[in-house]
Amino acid sequence: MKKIKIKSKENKIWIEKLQSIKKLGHRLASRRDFLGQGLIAFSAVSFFPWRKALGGFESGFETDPLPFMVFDMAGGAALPGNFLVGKTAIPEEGLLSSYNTLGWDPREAGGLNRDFGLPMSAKYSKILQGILENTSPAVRPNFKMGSFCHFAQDDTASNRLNASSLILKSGLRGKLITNGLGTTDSFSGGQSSQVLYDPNLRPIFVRNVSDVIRSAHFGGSSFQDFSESKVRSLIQGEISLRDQQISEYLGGPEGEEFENLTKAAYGKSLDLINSVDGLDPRENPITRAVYGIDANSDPSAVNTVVSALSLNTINGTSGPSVWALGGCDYHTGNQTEGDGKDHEMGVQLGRSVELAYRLKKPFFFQLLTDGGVSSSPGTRNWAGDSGIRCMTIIGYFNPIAAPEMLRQQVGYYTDGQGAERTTLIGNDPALVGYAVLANYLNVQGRLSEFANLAPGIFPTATQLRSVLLFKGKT
Amino acid sequence: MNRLRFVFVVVVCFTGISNSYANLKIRNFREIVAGFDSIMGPFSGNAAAYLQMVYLNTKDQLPRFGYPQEFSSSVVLATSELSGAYCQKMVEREMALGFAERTFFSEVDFELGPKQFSNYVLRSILEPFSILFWQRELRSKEKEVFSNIVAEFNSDGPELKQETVKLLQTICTLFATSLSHLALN
Repeated sequence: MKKIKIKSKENKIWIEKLQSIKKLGHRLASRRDFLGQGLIAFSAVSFFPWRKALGGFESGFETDPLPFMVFDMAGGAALPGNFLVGKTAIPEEGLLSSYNTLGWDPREAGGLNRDFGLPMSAKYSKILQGILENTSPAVRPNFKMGSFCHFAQDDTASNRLNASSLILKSGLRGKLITNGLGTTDSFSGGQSSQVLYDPNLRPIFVRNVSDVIRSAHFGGSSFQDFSESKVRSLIQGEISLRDQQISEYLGGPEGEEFENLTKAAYGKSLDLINSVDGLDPRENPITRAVYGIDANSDPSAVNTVVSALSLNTINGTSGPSVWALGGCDYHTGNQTEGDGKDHEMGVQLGRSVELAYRLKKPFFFQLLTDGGVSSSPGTRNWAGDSGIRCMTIIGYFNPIAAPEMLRQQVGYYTDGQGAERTTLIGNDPALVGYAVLANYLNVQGRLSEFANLAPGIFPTATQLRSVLLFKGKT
Repeated sequence: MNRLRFVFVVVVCFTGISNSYANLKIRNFREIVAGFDSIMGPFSGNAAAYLQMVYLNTKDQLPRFGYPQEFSSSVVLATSELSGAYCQKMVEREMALGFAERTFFSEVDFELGPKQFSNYVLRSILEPFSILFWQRELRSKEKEVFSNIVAEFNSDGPELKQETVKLLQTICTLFATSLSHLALN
């Protein structure tokens, strides 16, 4: 212990306290390597103003990055039981010989709904039902979805499917809540992992609306009696002390990273001195109408929380957000639970799209799940896990023009009623995440940035074009 | 054998040098609150319940593992709120005690405003805090930061005893949210 010269009378008190702190501050043995992936790449974008040359979605109102959300059905949901799968890029043109373990038959008369690009089961899809119940007719022509057919491990967090970290890296940083919000306390914010592992890209974990508001306001309840000038003094004091003390932690390339991290972290507080209006969806008349909430709605109810995520992501306050719906491992031998979870997801998808429409904002989402389920033959009774019956959906709402689709499906299913694993994205969930990024960039006219953001992924133009579902912005 | 030993020593040394920065970590959520409890505690009754509530509200934003990469604006916000609450309760506890009974603010008159914070009074607060939070002595440049805070409080006014409480809360929060406290080398 360093010898400290202290005036005699206070000796005992400080040394006793110091000794107790030393015990508590005792360094733990063998920390894991924190030099995770993406540090260097992250540093290139972390302080790059999100409005600048990374481009954005020109909505005709102003250039803003395209809002992005991830909807995570945790457990391995029956997405092919809702969305059509086939053997070709237009699944209807290459139907499987049978769909008897996928829970429906697209050949049934009136079996398909083609409103949203990729056909859905008109009779059995509860996701479709939820979307239709919660979107106005004006929304639907400008909202399209497509799919990626791939394998994923069942009911596990290890599938690197979640593209939100890639979207963050591409420049979608929230004006106040920089990294975005997530409803699961994980690095991805959801059940499935991020494609790009970097703790600094972690969304803020929120359990209720208060967490959302607190994430954009300095000091919370602890400084509520302070005037703005005094809060500013405190923040500037924090920044000054940081500037004085950072030199102790510099060393090697990681030192520069830490310097940049801390500079941004302390500096951000200056933007958050005043509590910000507009974060609470219960105070927004549009969100109230879309989500059926009011000032007295339970701030921790799922619907209220998702409304907060959607509102703040779509209006740019927050970066990409992630909502995880648990309990989607619904192979219970019947279809009841599956229908319930599918409907719940469809409702939230529909509400988010409707909210984007009413706010006159574009919106892009990824619907993912970890694995899938198979049904008892000829029924919709979900019987067991099935990782080859997985798929990922992306959806794009453009308030200005109906999205044009290049194809409805990337990869394909075989007559075995499972995803073909030998396709470009069929066997590696992370590649699906990169394909989501490619589509996200493409609809904004930014596909040329893909190679820099994802070096070595889909290296040829042919490969890159082959994972695109939507026509790019010209 | 000697060659093997030589190679081993070179590898270990090289690894040691190249990983020297790998010793940096930041306090995780448990270490942060444990540190505050140790320095400013113990608390009981309503104060303890209030601090527990603030901790539960903020802990999800605090570093989970202590990796330096976790250092973000969320961490600063959460630590500011949590330490602000601890500091507020600590100041309130000291206010209720006589001069001789206090641990931290024996030179502070809670009936007076911020103008009482002469160099002497300020030093009487800063030096012990520096040892407790930073485990070292205060540096002159750091003292200037606090002197500036006092000057801003004085110029901002008003000269009320409540402002003394806020100033002490501010000083304490600055120590608690500083890199020298949150980062461990």
